[in-house]
Amino acid sequence: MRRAALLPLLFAALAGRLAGQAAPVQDAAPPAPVSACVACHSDPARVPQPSAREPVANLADDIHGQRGLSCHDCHGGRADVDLTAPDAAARAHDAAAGYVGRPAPSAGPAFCGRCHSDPAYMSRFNPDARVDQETRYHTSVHGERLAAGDTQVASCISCHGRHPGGEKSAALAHGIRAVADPQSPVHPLNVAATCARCHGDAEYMAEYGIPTNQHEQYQQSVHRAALVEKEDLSAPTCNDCHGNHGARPPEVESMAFVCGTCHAKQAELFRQSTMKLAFDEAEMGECIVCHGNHGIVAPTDELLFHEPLAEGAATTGCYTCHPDATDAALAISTAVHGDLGGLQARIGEARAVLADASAKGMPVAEAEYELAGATDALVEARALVHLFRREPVDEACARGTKVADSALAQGHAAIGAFYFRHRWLAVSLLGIAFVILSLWLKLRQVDRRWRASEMSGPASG
Amino acid sequence: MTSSSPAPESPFRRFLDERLGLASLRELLGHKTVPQHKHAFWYVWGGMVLFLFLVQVATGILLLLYYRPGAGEAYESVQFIVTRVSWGWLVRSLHSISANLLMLALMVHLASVFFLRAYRRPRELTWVTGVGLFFVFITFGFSGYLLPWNQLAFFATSVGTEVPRAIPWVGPFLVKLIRGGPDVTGATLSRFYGLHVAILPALTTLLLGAHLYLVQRHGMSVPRDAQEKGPPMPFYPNFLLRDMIGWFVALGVLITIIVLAPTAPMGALFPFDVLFDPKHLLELGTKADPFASAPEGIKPEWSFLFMYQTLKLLPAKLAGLDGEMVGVLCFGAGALVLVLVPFLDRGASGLRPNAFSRLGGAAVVLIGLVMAGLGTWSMVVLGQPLGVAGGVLAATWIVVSVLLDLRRGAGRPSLLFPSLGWLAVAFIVVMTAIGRIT
Repeated sequence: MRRAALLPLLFAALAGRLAGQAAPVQDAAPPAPVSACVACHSDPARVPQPSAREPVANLADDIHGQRGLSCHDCHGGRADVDLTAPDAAARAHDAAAGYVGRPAPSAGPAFCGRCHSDPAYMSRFNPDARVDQETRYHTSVHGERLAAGDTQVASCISCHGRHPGGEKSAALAHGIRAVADPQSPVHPLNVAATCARCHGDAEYMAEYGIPTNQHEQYQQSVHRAALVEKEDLSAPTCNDCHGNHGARPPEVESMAFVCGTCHAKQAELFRQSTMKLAFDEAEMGECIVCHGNHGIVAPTDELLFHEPLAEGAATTGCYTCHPDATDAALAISTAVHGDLGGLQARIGEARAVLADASAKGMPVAEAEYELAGATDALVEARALVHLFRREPVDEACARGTKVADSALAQGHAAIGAFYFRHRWLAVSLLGIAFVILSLWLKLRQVDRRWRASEMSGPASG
Repeated sequence: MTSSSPAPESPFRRFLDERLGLASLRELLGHKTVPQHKHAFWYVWGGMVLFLFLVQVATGILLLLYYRPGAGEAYESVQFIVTRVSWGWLVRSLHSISANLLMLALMVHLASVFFLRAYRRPRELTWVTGVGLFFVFITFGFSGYLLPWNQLAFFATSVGTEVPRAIPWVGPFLVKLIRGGPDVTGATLSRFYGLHVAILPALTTLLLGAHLYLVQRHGMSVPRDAQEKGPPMPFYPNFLLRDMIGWFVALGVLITIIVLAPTAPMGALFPFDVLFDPKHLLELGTKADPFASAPEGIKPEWSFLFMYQTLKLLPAKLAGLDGEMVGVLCFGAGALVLVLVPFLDRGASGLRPNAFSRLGGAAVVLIGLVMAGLGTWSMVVLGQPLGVAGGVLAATWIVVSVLLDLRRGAGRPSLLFPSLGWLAVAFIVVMTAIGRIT
């Protein structure tokens, strides 16, 4: 009732208006009916304020406009008033007809939620559409603070809307793009910058007492490198760890679950380890203690080493908590470090030998394929580090070393075959030269006999 | 001493003589002779082709023991041959490289017979069977190229089998027939395998048998203007020993290319790497993937390169007709002219020129003009003066040959047909060169 009745009419009106910009009006077609809202708010003579014409101007880029919605679908009122009537404005903006105008900031989530929390309505556009955004928003730190009267916190349009006046400008609701649209502020590639608009602004965040360097740290992280440089849109950005509509910082005890969303194997192994209990008792944040959070860098085997990491490193190693050289835990980490390093060195050696053989034109594709098994074992061994025991890592490393040794042997055999072929060529060419020489000597002999017989032939005949 | 009594025969030799008639074969060999004159060197090339063909047969049979046709197995089986089978790398490399040397020797043989006009009466059918063998070996090369089922072979075959589509009316049907469907698939591989190991060998046996019989029947041709240097040389053993020296030289070249090519810098195996890239021939590369994008700069084998390059240079429309169709039809006509050379070049036999000869002369002039045009185009667009040099050379030669013909008068062999041959050689060289450097 609230939207359906006039939807086809207004969609046709909007489509007609948009089409009219791109293509000439066809002679035979009757003029398309135009929504009173659109007609009025696009006419500078009727609505002289540019800000009041901005909604219609941006409707074409707006996902709602693209799905056939128009002004009154959100703002209510009457879209079919006769604009020549003296009371047209009053009738169009009649509260009795459901006109709500511009919602107050605190009413934003409920305003959007009228549709976005309605499964029946949303399924018309996407049968799989989620409808929990408003509910989750109320559970977020943003939602809690908004409910407490803090209108500075983010609500729907803060993230989804446009900021035509720059990052610090007020958000405008018209021109909201689909999340999958690369120009959308909540497209995965843009999320970090969108969050940083507030969370990177020290002045804006001053009253909340939370750090504002997360975005700066994230720029250095392996997650950002995967997302932006490798263009892997499944790589995490802010909302993947903190949630989006229900955004809040993860609690200490749920840290492994958050990281485990993607790093499932490592998280599961950590939960099986004795270290889990120790971390919980010490109220330490599990994964982030060693790996860091926003500025997380690619982990290296040096995390296990018994020496402090370089100053300013984004991660901390075993040494941080086990500085005593006699600590048994440190002995395990040092041994595991040695195991991993040994396997990695063996893989590197095999790879170099195979590359040398390949450069010599020897077919080593099978050995290279086999060597991938050793790399798999190394990856597995590194994951098994999260059990904080030496035996499983040892076992995986031994398996990988066996595979790498086999590939290495094949590489050496290929290089040996290469030199054998050259020796064989030299011997063969010598043999061929000998045969050619013998044939040439024989040829000289038979030619001499033939010429002699030809010379004596006519005389004797 | 010449009338001494023959040596007593061993019982075994007598046994074979009675059953196989070896005595008559010995007698035949004893009577076979080879003329001696300044062009006699070119006679060895027929034997060279035969030797390289026998290398193909021997290595092909060995490869058959391990090769498995089929899109799912072919690549793996070739990989197995070159990595696991003892000396498999040598057998496969010999097969691959000697196939290219065979084409090279065959072209030299064909050209020498053409320019010495050895096809003239009564050797017309010797020429026809020889040209037939040339086409069969081209097909051998084309079908064999796909058998390893690697990426390069797959896309080269996709491009190559697309060419007949330009033939009017029957083109699409021919493409489907060759591929065994609309695209190059495992069905094409099966087809090419059958062609390579059954149909073409059977055709070769027939044509080669006929060719050798005709060579034996008519003997070696002596060019009309060549002065014989003396009595003809016995084929056995004098000429055969010369042949064998050539074969062993070829064997040495073959194994040197095979062993050195993978690491030799470009130019080290000159002139072979000017014509073809032995590294690419020896590398197996990656398995064919129809969904992958075509390798960059993909080109057909060197022996097809001039055709590919010509079709590439032709404009989309020629006199209102599809340019590629005109090109393909021209090559078809060229192949037909090649087969019919002995019947068209009546002047070679000292007979009066007929309408065909005159048409041939007109064709030479026409193609010369096209050649010169292409040469200019290649310089203007590609910045390669090679094309212009070839074009100008060819056009000049045609003009000179026509003028000389007018002065030579009746009864002397016309220079027009050799001009046609030189033109074809120049055209093939220029197009191959443009194909290699672009």
